[in-house]
Amino acid sequence: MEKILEVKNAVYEYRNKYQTVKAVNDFSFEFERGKLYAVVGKSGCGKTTLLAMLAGLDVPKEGSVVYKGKDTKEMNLDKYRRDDVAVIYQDYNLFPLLTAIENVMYPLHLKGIKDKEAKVTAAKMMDSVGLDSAFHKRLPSMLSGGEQQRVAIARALAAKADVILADEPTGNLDSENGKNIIGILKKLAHEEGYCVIVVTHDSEISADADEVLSMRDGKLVTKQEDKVN
Amino acid sequence: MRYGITNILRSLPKSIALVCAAMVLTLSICIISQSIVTQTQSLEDVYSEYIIETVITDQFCIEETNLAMNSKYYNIISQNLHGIRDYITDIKIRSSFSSNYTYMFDDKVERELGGSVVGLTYLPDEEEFKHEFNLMPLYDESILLDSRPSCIVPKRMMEDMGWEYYTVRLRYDKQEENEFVEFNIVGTHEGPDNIYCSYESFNDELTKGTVSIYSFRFNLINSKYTGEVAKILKFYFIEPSIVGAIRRELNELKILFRYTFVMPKGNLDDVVKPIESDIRKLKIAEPFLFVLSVATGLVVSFMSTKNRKAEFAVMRSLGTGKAMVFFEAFFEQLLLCLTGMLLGIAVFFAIYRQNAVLVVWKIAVFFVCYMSGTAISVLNVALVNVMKIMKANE
Repeated sequence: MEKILEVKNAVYEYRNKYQTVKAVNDFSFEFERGKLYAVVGKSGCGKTTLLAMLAGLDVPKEGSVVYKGKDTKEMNLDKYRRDDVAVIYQDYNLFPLLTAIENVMYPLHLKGIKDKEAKVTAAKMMDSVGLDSAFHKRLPSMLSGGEQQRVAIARALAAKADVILADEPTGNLDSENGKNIIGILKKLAHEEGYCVIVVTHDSEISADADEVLSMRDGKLVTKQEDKVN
Repeated sequence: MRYGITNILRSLPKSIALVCAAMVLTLSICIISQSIVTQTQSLEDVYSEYIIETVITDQFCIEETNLAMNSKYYNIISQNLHGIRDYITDIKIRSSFSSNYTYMFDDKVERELGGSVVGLTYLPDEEEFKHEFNLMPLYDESILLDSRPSCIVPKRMMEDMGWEYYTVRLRYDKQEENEFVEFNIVGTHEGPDNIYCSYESFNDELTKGTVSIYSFRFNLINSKYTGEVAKILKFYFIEPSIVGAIRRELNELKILFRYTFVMPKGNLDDVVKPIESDIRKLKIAEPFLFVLSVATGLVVSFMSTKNRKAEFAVMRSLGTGKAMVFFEAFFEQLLLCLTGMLLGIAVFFAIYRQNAVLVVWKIAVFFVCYMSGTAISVLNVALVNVMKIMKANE
């Protein structure tokens, strides 16, 4: 498997007036294409901070995040987020006033793709997550949680990024919808070759993941290879 | 931009509220500006309706240094009041000298003048001097106003000479015999034995050591400058007492003076003061409106964007740069503000119609103020720490 993303001795601190907290502390790991990773741990253990660093929302204070051999500190992070990674959130974070298809088209417009072409691509992406044209013109408020999360996944796919990061993607969904979303993510990793990294409390995702990274106090404490797949 | 426009259209009630805020502010600024313009115009009209007839009463000066009144008057007009010279009309300066004068026609026989020599900057009339004046056919009333030495002599004098002469020579009795000043005779009068001369040709030699009476009056055709003129006149003269009695008093040059100036203002103050007061209040209110615009821009944008931090954070996480996020959010507010402004201006024109005076720079200042407030608020959103927002979700 091709190594695509690597975290090397990453440290990330939050500082306030009273204390400094190391949210991520000397974390190292290599992520590969075509695998589904689950990052687990108690609340506040640094999972989301790790995800944010992988997403290029910030860079580690010490150590590095390396994408395809290049340190993100040396990259244009806006471009990195636009082209190389896509993030899916627990509460979907769709643009409330854009229709489902417009939400999916947004990253395409960012890349400078013309409206007509963007629409075709977005429709294809929605199809791939099981949303037909009946959903295209619906606003997020007219969609169920599972449907919104599918739109969010379609938006992530539209960006044509190599890495998909998901922050508790099933957190707000019932078990049926949760299973569907896990299925989609799994398919994306295994059939389409994405590197999918999911931060989760969901044991089902952990069970389905190729690798489970367990975090405590910002550190990687165990790494468990999934044997099923 | 596409995102901004979609947002505006799909959150119409909120957009309408923002447009209304900008419209009301624009309308308020337009109305205040219009009121200032209208009131200022009314004030100008009032000022130009009142003509102030300024008179320096011709009393005797006490000190010899004050006697050079003619040059003093000219100095006041030509230098001190130079800036408002356009508003000063009908300048009438009169100098009257009673002494023993000798006049002479070409026949070389000197005769004694029974009356005074009067220097004038204007054509004398019957109303002022109580006798009739006749200009000779060759001359018109401008003759006394130019620099050529001209004079109007008693009709009796001309009759005695059989109407043969067109010039007369004049000297005051303490002058040397050859110090005659020659004047063209341009007219006659029916009055006592006075000679009326054009002021500018009035030789200082004719006035030395004589008993003199001066008079200076002019009309101020824009009463706006009354205060300014009074200030200058106070420097040289004194104001009359309330009862109109002439006092001996020091003027602002600390010279003992009895010449007084009178500027009858009538009820000008009663008319002008309320308008000035209104303008003052409006001018005080105006800057507050601009400050209010900044505050409104700030608050309105803050209210409109504060619940959208997560949305902008997602934009950032999808790879939209900070500048682009700022532009998107700012563009929305800009569009709403511009729409509100245009509506405000349209309503303003609908109210005032052809009388509407749009003070463009004030609208521009409002726009800048409002958008500055907006920019501060939007900047706060554009610089959102995406990590913090994600952390909050953890």
